[in-house]
Amino acid sequence: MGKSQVEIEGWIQKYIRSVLETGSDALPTDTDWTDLGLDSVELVIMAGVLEDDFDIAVDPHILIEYSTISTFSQYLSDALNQKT
Amino acid sequence: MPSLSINNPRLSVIVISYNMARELPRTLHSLSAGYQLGIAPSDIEIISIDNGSRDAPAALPPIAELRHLRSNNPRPSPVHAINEGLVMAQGDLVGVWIDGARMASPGVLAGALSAARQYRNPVIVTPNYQLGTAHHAAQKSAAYSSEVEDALLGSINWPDDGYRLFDIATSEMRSPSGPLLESNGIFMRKSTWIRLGGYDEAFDEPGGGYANPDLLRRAVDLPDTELVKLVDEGTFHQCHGGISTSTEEGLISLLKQAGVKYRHLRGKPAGMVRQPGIILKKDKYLPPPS
Repeated sequence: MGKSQVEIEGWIQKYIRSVLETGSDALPTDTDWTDLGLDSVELVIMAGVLEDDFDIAVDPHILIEYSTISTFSQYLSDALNQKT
Repeated sequence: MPSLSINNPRLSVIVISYNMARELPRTLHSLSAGYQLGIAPSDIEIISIDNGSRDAPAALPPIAELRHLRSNNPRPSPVHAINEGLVMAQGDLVGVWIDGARMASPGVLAGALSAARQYRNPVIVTPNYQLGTAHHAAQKSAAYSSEVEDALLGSINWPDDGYRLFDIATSEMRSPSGPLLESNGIFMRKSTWIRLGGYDEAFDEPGGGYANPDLLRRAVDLPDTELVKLVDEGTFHQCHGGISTSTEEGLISLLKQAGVKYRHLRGKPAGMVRQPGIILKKDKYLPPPS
């Protein structure tokens, strides 16, 4: 099932806020994962949970290429839309 | 299981192993009073539990404070074997060594005992390292092997000065004092282990999945515990084909699967423990080198 970039951004925002225990304030969407405070292990874990929730393979290396909430959400939205 | 005969140790260390014939003897030696600084044999008991090995060590180092046992119910996950050890542990302070392939630096036990003297309910952690110049999962098999590792250990004349392990190892963390997902050497009062109910046996996958990160998270989330980081110590992984450190692909797959299971069990994603904790440095528990 396709998902919009906005829907995926919302998912990632909620996920990362839970990992970082930062409350409900929105995270910047154009900041690198590392600068948001995520560790590389946490990115791999997020890739697995994305796979589980969106039923699509997510290579963690893609998260290095698309290294912000905005760019990765667009990438994943496109990938999901191509799949359907 | 036979009962233990060591009476009134201050500290119990539970070491879990599975098919670690080469690695376990070094690990046990590294935890013995003969290697650990400022520790007498009567201070500690080492409870080594074999979790159903087909390839167990032919002989173990002659360590008076060591009891080597076999789990009464070996399972793919080490978690049940750990909980067996927690029941047997007699010390007020109890450490768990979930991976018996990890050697210790020489001040781990003195540091843990020092933290236990200073803090009421400490959660004492040691940083994880891997022997070699890169993480084992990232090493090409031809470039890193048990033979290469043996030569590395020989190059520092281990076990003459255990702190030289840092010279031949790679950290698993960005910083010893920074966020951490887990610690292979984690020490708490026995009463804290009891309050936590030990490790959660729902983490039943080979290697235990995120049982160890889960344990750390639950421990630091208790309202009255204090995270203490022994930043000058470490546990040093020997390559052994373990579930989480053999290949990059295997490691990624494991991290993904374990993360999904953790979220299923806990209703939230797995993440690092980010609280800075109390930094305990070596000069606070060991005399300066002469």
